Amino acid sequence: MELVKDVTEMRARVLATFAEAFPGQDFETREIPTDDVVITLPAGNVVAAVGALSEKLGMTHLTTITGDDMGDEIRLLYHMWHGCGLTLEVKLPLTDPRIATLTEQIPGATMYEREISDMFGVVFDGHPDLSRLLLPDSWDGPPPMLKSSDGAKEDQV
Amino acid sequence: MTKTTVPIGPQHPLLKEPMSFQLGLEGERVAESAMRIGYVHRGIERLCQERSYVQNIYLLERVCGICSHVHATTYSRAVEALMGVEVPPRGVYLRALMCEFERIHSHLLWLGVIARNIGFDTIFNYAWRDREIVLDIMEDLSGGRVSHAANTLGGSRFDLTDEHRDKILEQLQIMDAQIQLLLGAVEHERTLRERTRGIGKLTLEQIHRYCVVGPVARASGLDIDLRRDRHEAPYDRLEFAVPVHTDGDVWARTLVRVQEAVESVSLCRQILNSLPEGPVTTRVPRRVPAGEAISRSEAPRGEVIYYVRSDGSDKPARVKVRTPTLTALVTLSEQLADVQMADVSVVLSGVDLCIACADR
Repeated sequence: MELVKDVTEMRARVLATFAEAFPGQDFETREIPTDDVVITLPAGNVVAAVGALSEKLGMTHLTTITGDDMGDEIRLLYHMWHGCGLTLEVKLPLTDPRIATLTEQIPGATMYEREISDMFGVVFDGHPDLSRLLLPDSWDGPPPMLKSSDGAKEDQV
Repeated sequence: MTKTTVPIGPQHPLLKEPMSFQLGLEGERVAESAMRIGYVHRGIERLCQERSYVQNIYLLERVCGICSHVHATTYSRAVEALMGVEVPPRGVYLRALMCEFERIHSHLLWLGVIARNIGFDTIFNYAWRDREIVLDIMEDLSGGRVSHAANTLGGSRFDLTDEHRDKILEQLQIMDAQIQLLLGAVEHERTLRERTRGIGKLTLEQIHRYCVVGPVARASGLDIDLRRDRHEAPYDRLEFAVPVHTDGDVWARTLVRVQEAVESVSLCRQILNSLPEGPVTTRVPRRVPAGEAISRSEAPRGEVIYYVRSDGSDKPARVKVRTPTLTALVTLSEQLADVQMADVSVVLSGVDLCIACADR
């Protein structure tokens, strides 16, 4: 397995792959420490993007998915690693956040998607089992990692 | 055949931490399994947003009761990257030293657990006795056996004198002899091999599909170790081998872990012998500028990642942790399929689960 050397090379190779997979589209990119390049994608493109990365570059390792409530939108960050880090960034609306599941391409995403569904209320369309992962079955409050949530009540702790 | 459902957990003598399994048995064989975690979820990620950057170091140490130091280190590295601060070489070395002690301690602890589970109490007793040597060293260095509080933003909180170093080198000598003994027992003792061989098998293809990391992945032939492959200090200046096996069963995982512990003893020695002079910490700015950073490390169980986003205030806007255990959990239903009920405990302990890590 050939690993990518550094962030510059990673950015170039990934953008070349995306140019082929999504002709005519421009992608915003930024580098963040310690060695990651972040590429912003439209929410509908993640599945195709991950497919292209695995097919063209042999990148199959999804480290995790980070959910982040930015106040006006929910951000999902798909962290991958292949010699250096690559993060795919997707922005979802706060009301009714939905995105297609990655579990078909990467079965390893199962837990990460369930966790984000618990914590941020994001629905992953096509996920085989979006049941509770970390929250107790009795939890009836809003998803606790959202800024609008004020956390657990006394009797839930 | 009628199916019997055997519930294991959330509280069960077999499990060291609370999690729950529902095993559907056909005769003595596991036909299906379902799993539930979350019983030790403490909401650490949310708590991080309500504490200062420095307080979080000591909170994040509590993610795991075994590899506490690597969590604090990885988080600190992310925050230092945001601040644009570089840790002095001596600080980097001391952090790595603690990480390697922790790896030895974690792998020996695990060896004891698996030996106990297959009824091999001699190895259990030896492994846990020898693990005390490392715990003593860590207590000497930091004051704590498990939670070391050895990190601060900008470097390490402890330093070594020359006498201290010589004493540790002496203790490492004993450690080395003991661990060679354990390695010999693991490699040549038939009982251990027969109970673990062919059980909990994962192929390389499954490792890729489920994005598994760490010793479990390396026991299935995935040659990735972030210490080597990220070319980061101080590992780029140290010599060590990355043990890889291809059988993919619990037996291969045992070999990988014990051989890794042997390498770690050598790494500790190299670090102590090449410890750079100079300060162990550097001054850090009071404010963390807005931005984001991702930091990865090779914990004893594999890749751990921290994502930290700052909005310029005194508390992080988001801290995300992914611990290596979560990657191994997904594979459990495939590993448990069709194994004998008596081997379930071997499969479960074979992946070295840390539920507190997975639940956070």
